[in-house]
Amino acid sequence: MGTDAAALIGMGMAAAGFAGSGVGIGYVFGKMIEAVARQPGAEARVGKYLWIGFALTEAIALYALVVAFIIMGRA
Amino acid sequence: MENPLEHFELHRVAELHLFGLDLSINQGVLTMWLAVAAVFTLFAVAAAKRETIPGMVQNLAEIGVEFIHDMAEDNIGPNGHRYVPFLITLFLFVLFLNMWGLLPGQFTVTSQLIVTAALAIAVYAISLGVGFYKHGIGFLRILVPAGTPGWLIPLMIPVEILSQLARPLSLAVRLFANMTAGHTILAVLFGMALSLPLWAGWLPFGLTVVINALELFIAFIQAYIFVMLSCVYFGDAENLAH
Amino acid sequence: MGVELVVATCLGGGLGYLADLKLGTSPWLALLGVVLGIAAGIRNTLRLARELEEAAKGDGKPEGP
Repeated sequence: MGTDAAALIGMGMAAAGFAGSGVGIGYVFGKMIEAVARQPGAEARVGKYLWIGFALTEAIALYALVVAFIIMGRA
Repeated sequence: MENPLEHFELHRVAELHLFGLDLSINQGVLTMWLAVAAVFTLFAVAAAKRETIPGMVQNLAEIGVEFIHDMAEDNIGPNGHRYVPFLITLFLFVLFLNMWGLLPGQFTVTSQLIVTAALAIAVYAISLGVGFYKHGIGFLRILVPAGTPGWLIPLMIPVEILSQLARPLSLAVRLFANMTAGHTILAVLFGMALSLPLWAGWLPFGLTVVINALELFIAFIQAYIFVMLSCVYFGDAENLAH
Repeated sequence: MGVELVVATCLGGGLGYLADLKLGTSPWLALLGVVLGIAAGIRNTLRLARELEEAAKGDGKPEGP
């Protein structure tokens, strides 16, 4: 298998790491909507944690992207 | 299917070499000139009559200015109104450039890292300039937030310096990555829609309609986030409130 | 907003890696750079979340009991 083909396959597999992040972000925002629906007055306080949770979850997806770029750069 | 990254390449329209630098005019430059002309025309037409009860164009411009003005005052405080001209120009410029690439055959200028990096560096340079101008060398006090115990300070300073440096970089990368990813997805889907036989090709085509709508939304959101984070950084420089 | 965390980490790692190349102490400085970058990224994200909430609360109702 040539280096180019192996690099492409590696990049594809690294990019598949976005799946977990997609589920995670949906989960975080879903829980936020549920919490606000139960108690609308808590929106300001829970909203702070919403953005932190979203940022950390999305960071995992971007780490996967960085790994894909590293693989692209090496081959 | 051709390489989906191909439509990000720039082609020269007119050659121009000055002082040994390659200043050729390409599609990106033309698009940016067009953006400047469009924003300028919008405000020239809107401010021409200055009626008390605004007409349509003036109303549109007033909505935009008020939107940015409120955001600036929320984040920067009482001095916010001084930044509004810069912020509204930045917002409309970035919005126009983001949306322009969705038209057929046009080039998305903000999908080039160098363009977003230039904008981000301009914003950060302004925040640093204002910070040093207002607070002198004491501006470096923002590196140590209030209430840290003394032994933690030597560890905090490199971390704070890193987080300061990461700000313009993240501003640039966020806009660049969102725009590039969006337009690449569109290019891939269109290529798939064309290369598949007719009975299967309508599915990716339908997806392009949906994703085009999503891209319009993202163009607006990314311009808004860019300007709002600029407001937050200006606010940090104005009041040393960390 | 997740970009903040990753960019700070990569910046720290990159600077650590460059310092490694110059001083020859690989790979420890790069590792230290990545750790500092993660800390800086988390600080940025937390600070941003806090400021966004304060800005949003500024024109909302005051916080309840």
